[in-house]
Order: sequence, then structure tokens, then C-alpha cells
Amino acid sequence: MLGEFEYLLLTAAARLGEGAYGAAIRQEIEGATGRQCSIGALYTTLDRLEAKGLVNTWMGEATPQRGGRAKRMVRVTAKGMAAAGAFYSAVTRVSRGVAWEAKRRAVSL
Amino acid sequence: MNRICWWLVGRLSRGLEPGERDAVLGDIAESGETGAEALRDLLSLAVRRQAALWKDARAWLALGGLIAPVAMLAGGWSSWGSWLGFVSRQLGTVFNLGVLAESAMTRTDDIVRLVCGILLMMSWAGTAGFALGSALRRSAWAYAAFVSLLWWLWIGPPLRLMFRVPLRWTLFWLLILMPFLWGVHRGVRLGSPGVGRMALLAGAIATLTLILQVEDSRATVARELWSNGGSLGWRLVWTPQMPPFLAILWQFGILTVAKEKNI
Repeated sequence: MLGEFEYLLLTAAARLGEGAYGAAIRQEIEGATGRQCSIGALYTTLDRLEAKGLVNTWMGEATPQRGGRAKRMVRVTAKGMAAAGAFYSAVTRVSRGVAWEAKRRAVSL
Repeated sequence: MNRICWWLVGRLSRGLEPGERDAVLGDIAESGETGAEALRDLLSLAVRRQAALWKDARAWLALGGLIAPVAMLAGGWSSWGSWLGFVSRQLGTVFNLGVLAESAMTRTDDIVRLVCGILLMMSWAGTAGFALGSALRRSAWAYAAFVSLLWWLWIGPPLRLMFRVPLRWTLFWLLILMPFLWGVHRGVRLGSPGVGRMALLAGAIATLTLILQVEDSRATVARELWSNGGSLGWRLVWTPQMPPFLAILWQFGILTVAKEKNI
């Protein structure tokens, strides 16, 4: 079972697709949660996910806006997608019928 | 203030692997953080990396391999029972009085024993450094500085008393420090040797330390058993020069194996 931050990171990387790398994932998570995401948390979680085989990372190209430094690119593996899907299903199932879930459904309708 | 923070960011980032350093500094540049924010981010990464490091058994094996021998050396110091004590006493006497301390042996034996003692001491320091460097990689240099300071404060004062001329004490200190730093350098370059080889290294350090305690009563029992065969009645040739040479050969063996497997 994934942790909350692991799920957020996998989802952000999957959403970004080919453009998933450290800074972009960080921005995506901060935008979605409204919380600050530290580089320490991001990179150590990425290492952990890579060790579990849930993502692949490699060094990408350097851009002038990064001071000519390379990006650490991220791609979610099939195993990572399955793990994120399982986490989402579990959260959805366990949330069925609780007050905040009913409220969210009412707002969306 | 901002300049100091950026300077610290630059210094701190040197502790990261080159690829990761590029990615992290690039992310910081892209996000337009201030020096203080960049420093906080980098510190959070450094702290998490250190915490992750200590989850690995190899780090504990390396640390155990360093603390145990230092504790044994320091413990044996007061009774003058350690090999380190023997070497420094012998060196100090030769330097200060121009005579040999151990009168029971011939001059040649005494000199050979002194040279062996120095080589063994260097061998022990080199192995300890290698274990530290290969287990902790880039973080090893910070720990090496800490261990060196510990040795200086702990073993330094009684050693200093033995040498009248400060230069001789410094030379003796370098005999320990230089192989230790060389070992760290080799360990960092050769990389992590895996849990099995790390256990072998820790075992090597422990064994070398036991050999250092050659004048201890346990070593005397072992020597008796070796020389006279004990109750089994078998007998092997014992010379006082053997353990240091075996220890040195062992260390070179370990370094060679590590080099073969990692390069």
C-alpha cells in the first residue's frame, strides 16, 4: 500500500506525462494540495518509489532557465500505475457514505 | 545574508552525487527561491539522506567496526597493554633516549617488531577508513573528520606525554591519520561493497584489533596454544612477526577483491 505523499507524487508524475521532472512535480503537488512540498521530501520519496519499481528516473536535458543544469525526469511504470489505482480504489471505497464524501457529491451535482 | 545562504547552498550541495546535485540545484534555480529557502530545502534533503543512510545495516557495521577498536585501544592504554602502546613506547624511547625499550630480544628482533607494529597500526587505520568510506560514500568525509577529532582528543593526550619533541608526536599522529584518510579515499572511490563484504571488513577490523592487543593475556593464551598445541599435542611455528604480516596481507587481499568486483 502506498503512502499519501507517494500517491500524490505518482499522480502528479502521471498527469505531467513526458514533462514530469522534479520541479514540475513539486509545482503540481503544491498547486493541488495548497501545501509546501520540500525538495528533500520529493527526492527521497522518488528514490523510494524507484527502489520499489514504481517509477523510472533518468537525467534529461539542461535548460537556460535552470542555469544549464540537467533535469531528473520521471516516468511512472505499469507497476506504479497499478499501485496508484489500487490506492485510489481503496480510498474511494473506504470513503463511501461518510459525511464529507456525500457533501462533495452534492456540490459536484 | 542572502549571499551567505547561497554560499552555504554551494558547499552543502557538494555532499550530493553529481547527477542529483545538478537536478536539485536546477530545480532550485527554476523555482526562483531565495537563498534562505534554497538552504532550507537543501538541508531538508541532507537530513533525510542521512536518516535514510542509517537505515542501512552497512552504516552500523562500519561504525561498529570503528567505535569498537577505538574503545579497545583506549581501554588498553592505561595498562600499556595495546600494540599501539608498545609502538609509541618503543618509538618514544628510541627517539628520546636512543635505546630500545624491550631488552629481552635482540636488536634485530626489536627493530623488526617495531616496524611490524607500525605497519600493523597503519594497516588497521587504513582498513577502518576503507570501511567508513565504502559504507558512507560522500558522507564519509564528514564522519572521517569527526573520528579524527575523536582520536586526537581521546588518544592524543597520553601519546603526547610520551614524546618530548612535538614534531615527533606529529609524525606519529600522521602514521595513523594518513593511512586512515587514504582508506576513506579508496572506500569512497570503490563504492559500497555490499552487506557480506561489509561484514568481512568489520570482521577484519575486529581481528586486527585483537592482534593489536598482542600483549594482552588472551593473546598470550592463544600464542601458547599455537606454539605448544595445548591438549591436542600439535605444534605450529610461531613468530611474533607473523600476525602483522598476515594482517597486512589480509587487508591487501580485501582491497584487491573490492577493486576487482567494483571496477
